[in-house]
Amino acid sequence: MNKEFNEKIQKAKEIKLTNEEKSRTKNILIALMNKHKKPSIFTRAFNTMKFMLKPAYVIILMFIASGVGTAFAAESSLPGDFLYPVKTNIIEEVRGVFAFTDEQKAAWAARRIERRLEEMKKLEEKNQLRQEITERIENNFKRHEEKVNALIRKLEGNNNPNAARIKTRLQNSIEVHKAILKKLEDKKFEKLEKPKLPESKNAQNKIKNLKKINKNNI
Amino acid sequence: MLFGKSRKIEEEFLKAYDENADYIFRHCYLRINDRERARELMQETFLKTWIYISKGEKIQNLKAFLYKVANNLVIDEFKKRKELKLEEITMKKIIGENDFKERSHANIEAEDVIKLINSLDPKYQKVVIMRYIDSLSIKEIADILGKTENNISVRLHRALNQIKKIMHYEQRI
Repeated sequence: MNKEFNEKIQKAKEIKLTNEEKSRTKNILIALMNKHKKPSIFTRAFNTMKFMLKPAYVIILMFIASGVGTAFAAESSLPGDFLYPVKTNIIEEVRGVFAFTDEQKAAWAARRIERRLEEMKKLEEKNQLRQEITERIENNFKRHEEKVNALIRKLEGNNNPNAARIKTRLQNSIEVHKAILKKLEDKKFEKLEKPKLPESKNAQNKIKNLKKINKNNI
Repeated sequence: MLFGKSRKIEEEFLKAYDENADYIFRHCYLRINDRERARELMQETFLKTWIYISKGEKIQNLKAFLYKVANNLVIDEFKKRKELKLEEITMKKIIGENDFKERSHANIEAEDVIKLINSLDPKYQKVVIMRYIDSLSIKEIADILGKTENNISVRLHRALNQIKKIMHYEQRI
């Protein structure tokens, strides 16, 4: 059987293309090779750019860019602004997720209190600290203060050396908070004590005249 | 420099064509039993491989890659035939008198082996062609078909047993 099988195999090995068939395909191949050259480094770079400019990728890039842009804009927003909820409910919450240990959590909660105070200061400077905004900040402040205190107690229980540092930071914030509130109260009193200016022009002229008379008399 | 490198790849590819065109053609011919179609599949194998290379893709073993492409094309060919129910027509065409004139003496002589291979279980046909006619190593066959070397050895062993039975039966007739 082996001999016969080998003979058959040898015959099969004689199956070949004719010279004409072989050169015909080779010519087709050469024509194709001229059409589809192996890309140069520049072509590959261009193809990569084309890939990046596909609509789907443009949309994703725009989405990421707008997300990053919104986050930046929200970061500088103040209470009452359109993007302020994004700052407190999304950006700060997300940052909080990356605080893994109790110490990191306490430090971040303390930082959030400081951020609320910074907002209060800015609004106060701009004279935009309305009653409702003050109340909202107050509530936030109390919530974070309780949270920090709870975390500090936990850290103290674990004899964490950084507990004292965070506690001092919280105390400073409370002091600043008190100072801002006092300033606000003082402003209120100033307003109450200020006499109302006469509204009419005639009345203003009368006052001017009286002042002149007084000067002359002196 | 860049153009020089590109030119070298083209030359290497044409050299690979000169060396492997007959092997790929023979492999396709023995499996699909249609000389002209086998020539077309061989041509398509090289064209597809060049397009792949021209896209900047790298090929570790060109010979193995060519066999992989050819094998896939043969599988597609079988699928098409199954859909069109052309198998019988093709067989008639090969044995038909008109086609006889076009074939060389060697191809007529090889008809015995084509019949023998066709009488094998389909899963043994390609390993027998690759091992005994294309003279590929077991490792190369395993790489092309995506199987283990052990699997290929077992298949070859079973294929030879089947060949023995067929040839023994033919002798008795």
